[in-house]
Amino acid sequence: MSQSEPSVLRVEHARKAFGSLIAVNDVSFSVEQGEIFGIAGPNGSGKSTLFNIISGVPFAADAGRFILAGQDVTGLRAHLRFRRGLARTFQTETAFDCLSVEENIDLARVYGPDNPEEAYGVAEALELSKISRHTAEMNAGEISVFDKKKLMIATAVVARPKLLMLDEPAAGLTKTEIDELREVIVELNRAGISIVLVEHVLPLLLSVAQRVLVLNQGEEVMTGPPDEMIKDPRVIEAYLGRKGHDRVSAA
Amino acid sequence: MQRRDRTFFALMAAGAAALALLPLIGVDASFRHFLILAFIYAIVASNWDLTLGYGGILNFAHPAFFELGVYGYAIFASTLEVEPWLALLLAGGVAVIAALMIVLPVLRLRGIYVILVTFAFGQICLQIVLSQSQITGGSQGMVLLPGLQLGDWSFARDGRMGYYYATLLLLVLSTIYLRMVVRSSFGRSIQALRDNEYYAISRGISVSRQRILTMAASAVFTGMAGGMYAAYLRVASPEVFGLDFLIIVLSALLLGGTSTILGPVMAAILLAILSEWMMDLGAWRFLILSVLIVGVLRFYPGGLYALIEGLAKWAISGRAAVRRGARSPLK
Ligand SMILES: Nc1ncnc2c1ncn2[C@@H]1O[C@H](COP(=O)(O)OP(=O)(O)O)[C@@H](O)[C@H]1O
Ligand SMILES: [Mg+2]
Repeated sequence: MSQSEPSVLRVEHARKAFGSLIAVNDVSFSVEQGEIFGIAGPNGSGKSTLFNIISGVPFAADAGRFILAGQDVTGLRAHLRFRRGLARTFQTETAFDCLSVEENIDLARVYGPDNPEEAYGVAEALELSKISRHTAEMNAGEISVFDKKKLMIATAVVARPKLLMLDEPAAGLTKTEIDELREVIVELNRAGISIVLVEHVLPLLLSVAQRVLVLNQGEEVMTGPPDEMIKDPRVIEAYLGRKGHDRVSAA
Repeated sequence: MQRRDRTFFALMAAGAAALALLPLIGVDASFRHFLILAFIYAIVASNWDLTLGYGGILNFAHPAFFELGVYGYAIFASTLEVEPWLALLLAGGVAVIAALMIVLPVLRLRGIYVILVTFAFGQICLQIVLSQSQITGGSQGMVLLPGLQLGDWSFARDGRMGYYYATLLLLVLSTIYLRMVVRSSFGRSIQALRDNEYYAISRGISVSRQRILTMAASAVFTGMAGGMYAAYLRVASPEVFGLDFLIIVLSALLLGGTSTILGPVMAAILLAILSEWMMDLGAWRFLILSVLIVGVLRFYPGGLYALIEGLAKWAISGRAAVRRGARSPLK
């Protein structure tokens, strides 16, 4: 990674608490240009909350700084973060149900990047997200769960973001669908979009991510390449609890 | 043009043509009077649909935009002696300014609080009208306002024929305007905010900016309808601030079906015709109308528009799509 090119995203000491529960506790990491950066961790470890405070939707961080391609976006309102090139999806698939699939994408294109010429066309976004022509004309309220997940990616991708943050895109998908999703992620990355991938489906995460950050109870457990991650005793402990760790190390 | 746009404009053109021909087959003056009022209510109700329906903003200041249009016309045309046609346009401007004033405190509010503040706005406007009697005529109102005319022909001549067509034209223009607004990117963005606010924000849409624009956009024709009302009746009286007006317009909106534009237009006209027919029944007609509204909404939550759409589908396809139509109002 050359010095001249700043990290796509730098997160510094991010923190978010809900009352006495600290959902994200002093988390720092950076995502490099062109990288697929994975985030793993058990349920409730703060992955989605981290996405929320980075994107500003639906709430901002209590503390910490977010720097997108060298620009501080910490104080920026959420819709402007998207226009600057920081796009996210949500864990539960959502769409603008009263609009057609194409209209969903076009809306994000129109309100998307500061400079509309940077955006993809709707057709390109459909292709990159592997949404069929037939589906494109349907009402977003009528399409399948998998198509909705892809549509959520398409509305993010159409703005040609600097960074795409995917929150458990594979949840609830079949094996074949996950394989197709993997292709989408890899091709988007090839098209020059850096990606942060939160994923519970570990085979997918480990096969595409170059580095993985593991969270547990809002705190960083480790950051490193996938093969280091799966061997790390602290990770095993986070996932399986102390007993699991004892079992694994005894074996 | 897409098929649903064609359907919309075909329906609108057919309705407008029928209404334009109606006076030629001879309807009496009192019925014509009811229709003129119905057209005005239709404009107010369908523009309210922009905030209440498409925008999902619980804006109860909408009747006040109309009322300020009434007084705006009165003050410009009568006190300031502005050309009545110009005063009609300015009435729209007055309403837009009012919308911009009320939207600012509403931006940070949600749900029931939006209703409270916007409703209070109408009451404040009424109090101002009553207290500034040297300008507004206070509780007496303003009378003998200048009417509309083209050259020497007063719109009140020939049994108010001029007002009938001018109001119908205003309704047609307003309906085209509304359809263009809701089908534009802006219109889609406000529906997106209504359907899923956080998702919309995460796709670059600004809540504040779109809410401000939605309120302003809903006021333009509403204010002009107020101006038309004042020009037609030639009075501006604080009575327009009453609950009656709000109830009529809200009934038209809900009975017709929110987020449909044509629904409230049709319902306003239907309600006017029904209450004309039931004139002799006195207070009973309100009871009958209430039962009708509850009945329609019980079986067709999407309102009259959904009912008609369902019937049309059924007639075309021969299949019983009526029930399905109840749940998917044509957008
Ligand atoms: N809006 C919220 N209000 C209160 N607690 C929340 C909220 N969002 C998340 N939490 C809590 O914060 C913790 C982290 O949640 P989350 O970020 O959704 O975890 P993950 O995505 O890793 O499964 C959980 O304990 C969750 O209950
Ligand atoms: Mg989560």
